[in-house]
Amino acid sequence: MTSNRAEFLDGFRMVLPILIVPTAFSFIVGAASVQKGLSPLEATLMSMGVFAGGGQMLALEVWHDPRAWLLVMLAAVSINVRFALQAASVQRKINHFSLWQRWLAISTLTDPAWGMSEVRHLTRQVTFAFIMGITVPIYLIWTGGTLAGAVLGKLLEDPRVYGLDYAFTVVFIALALPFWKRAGAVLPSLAAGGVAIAAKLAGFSALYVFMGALAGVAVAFVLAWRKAQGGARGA
Amino acid sequence: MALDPYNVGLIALVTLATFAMRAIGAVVMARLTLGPVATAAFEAMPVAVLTAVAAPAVFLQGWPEALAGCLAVLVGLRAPMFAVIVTGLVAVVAFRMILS
Repeated sequence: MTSNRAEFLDGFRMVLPILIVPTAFSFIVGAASVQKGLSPLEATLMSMGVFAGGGQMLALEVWHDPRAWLLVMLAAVSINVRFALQAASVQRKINHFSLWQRWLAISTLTDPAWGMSEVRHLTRQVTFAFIMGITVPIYLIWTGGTLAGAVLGKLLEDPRVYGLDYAFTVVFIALALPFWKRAGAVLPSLAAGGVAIAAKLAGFSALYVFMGALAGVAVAFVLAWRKAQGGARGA
Repeated sequence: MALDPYNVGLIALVTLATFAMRAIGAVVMARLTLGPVATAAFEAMPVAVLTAVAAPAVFLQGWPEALAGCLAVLVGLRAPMFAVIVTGLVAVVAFRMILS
């Protein structure tokens, strides 16, 4: 059993090269939050509690809709449902943690913490200190960057001049790109984008997102179902 | 520093919904084995949502936004996430100045 310190440093060294991503992203989330009417304190609280940038950006997108209480939940659930799959996988690798360690690791799970734990598990047991070596720096950067972005974002008089109103769109493109590069995601993405555009043109404010998403998931479902049928017949 | 009840209420909802996803995964789904069809549908959800938000924002606002979005995607085929964000923001400001 290696020391906690060595394990923590292993995690930290693994996450270090990608820390630029949460740095830049948290800054944008902070600026976008004040743009939607949150105070810097509220923006920081949201980052502390939610700790998931895609969900925060999507929730802010529907923040002022009359049905916001429903739409922000839909936003958080639909984009963060990946955490359910990731947590299910990580859970099986951290059964030896104590109860509070397990819950702390699960409730602060991020894409890097999940991905790097999976990689670590290939060669050795995943420890609590290792996961914290990944999660603690991300958490500090995430909350600090949100506060900095919110305070600076408040100083800007017209966010449009700096293209900040377009930051939402750019972030969603950046988050979606790794998926678009996979062959299986092309048709579902085209369906999602096409239906969303049509629904928005038809006047479905805010709901167009979920109509598009539903179309994308439906196409993915049909593709996987047909593949499973074909596989069954081939066997 | 202001705390507005509307904002705090929505922040609490987003926090709970996100925590629920992480917790359901650890408590419920770790004990289930999903078939390939269900897994594919779950895995498609985030990219479907992201695309459904991005596509209208890129194509329904005007030429600067459409061109900047396409340029960001082209850059992103090769470059990392950070470059996509910078390209998109710089391009939309530039195209707005040129085209308006």
